[in-house]
Amino acid sequence: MQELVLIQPGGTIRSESSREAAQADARHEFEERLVECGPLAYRVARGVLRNTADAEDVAQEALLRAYRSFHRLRDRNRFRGWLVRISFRIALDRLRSAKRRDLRDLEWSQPAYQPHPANAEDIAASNEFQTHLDRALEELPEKLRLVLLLAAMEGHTIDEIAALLAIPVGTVKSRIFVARKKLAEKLRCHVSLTKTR
Amino acid sequence: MPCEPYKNALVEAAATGAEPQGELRAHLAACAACRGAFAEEQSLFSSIDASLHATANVEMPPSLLPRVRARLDQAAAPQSRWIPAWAAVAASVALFIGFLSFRGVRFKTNERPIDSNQVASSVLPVESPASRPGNPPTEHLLYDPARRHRPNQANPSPDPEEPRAFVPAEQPDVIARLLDGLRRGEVKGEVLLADGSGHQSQDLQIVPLTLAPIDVKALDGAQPGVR
Repeated sequence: MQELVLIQPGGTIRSESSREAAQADARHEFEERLVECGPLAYRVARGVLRNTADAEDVAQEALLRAYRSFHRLRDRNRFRGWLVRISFRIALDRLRSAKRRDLRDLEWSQPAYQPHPANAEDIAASNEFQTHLDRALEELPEKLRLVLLLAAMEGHTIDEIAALLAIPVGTVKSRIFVARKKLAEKLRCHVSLTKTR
Repeated sequence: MPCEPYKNALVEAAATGAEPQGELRAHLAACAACRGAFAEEQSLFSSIDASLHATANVEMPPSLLPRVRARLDQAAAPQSRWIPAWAAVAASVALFIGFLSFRGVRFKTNERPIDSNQVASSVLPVESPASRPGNPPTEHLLYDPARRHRPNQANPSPDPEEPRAFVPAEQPDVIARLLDGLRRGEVKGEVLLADGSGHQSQDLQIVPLTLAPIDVKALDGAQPGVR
């Protein structure tokens, strides 16, 4: 027997308009969060990539992804942490692909990469330390790196980082401690080298 | 070089940023080398923190948010023009039906057109597949068109040179016997092909239809001519 379905054209129009209204509401809500959390997404990306243009691209991509999945986020208070994780993940992917590309380029174009020469000794020392710090940061495990970056950002207390990443306060503290110690281990020899010059 | 037993305690105290307590504090007060090492460690962690702070607190370029908004508008625009789901389903079904009908038409055109004058000769294969050596015995002498589109069946594919014909589904045995008779010479093929319009068989005679006269009677209690 043929199955019959009751359709209601007026109902379709109503549901269409209500869907559009819901979309407009979501867009409006997202706009407010965009202004509030846009800098956070950018800073996380910048902290990982240390390149303004790349960080901008990553932040944009993260915000777009967040918008596409915004309707799936039940607890809107968790938007900041959610966005931080999205930005961090995309930035890490970008960094890894850039590393692979650089490695390929390096294999093809010898001699090897050499750092830019510095104009003044103090700037050179400072830049050198920053370069070593960047390299040491890259070698940190992802969990430690994200917590350390968030802790370095203004306006983020330990409690806020714990809430942001949905992890206990004790875990945040221990990660920051371990991360700083690891960085110090890697940078100790460079600091003494810089000082002896 | 700091004193070895206090080395780790020095580093940990510098890493936490807290003032040394207890035994370490007393040792630092007494040991100048360890005081120097502790100061270096504190300087190192200060440098790390300062660099991290500089890295983590860069200003967001003002062009970022307008770019994101433009992308959001782009992302929202095609969504509103997107065809509804039911239209996509309907289009898929229509395509599927069209494909099926196209296949049906193609198979029909591949069939040989059946000429009524050729039926009698077509049903007479020169040699039946069953009689050929190596061929498995078949149920019918005539080719079943339904099997044509089922390759890899138990029956081998029919010989393309062999004539084929459609027969009523309930008559393959009768026709097989007829063919057998024709092959043995018991039935003359000319009789089947001959124009039988002027010839009247003794077995087939037209008997006029006779109808008994109909007796019309009025219903009980009803007067004729009154409704």
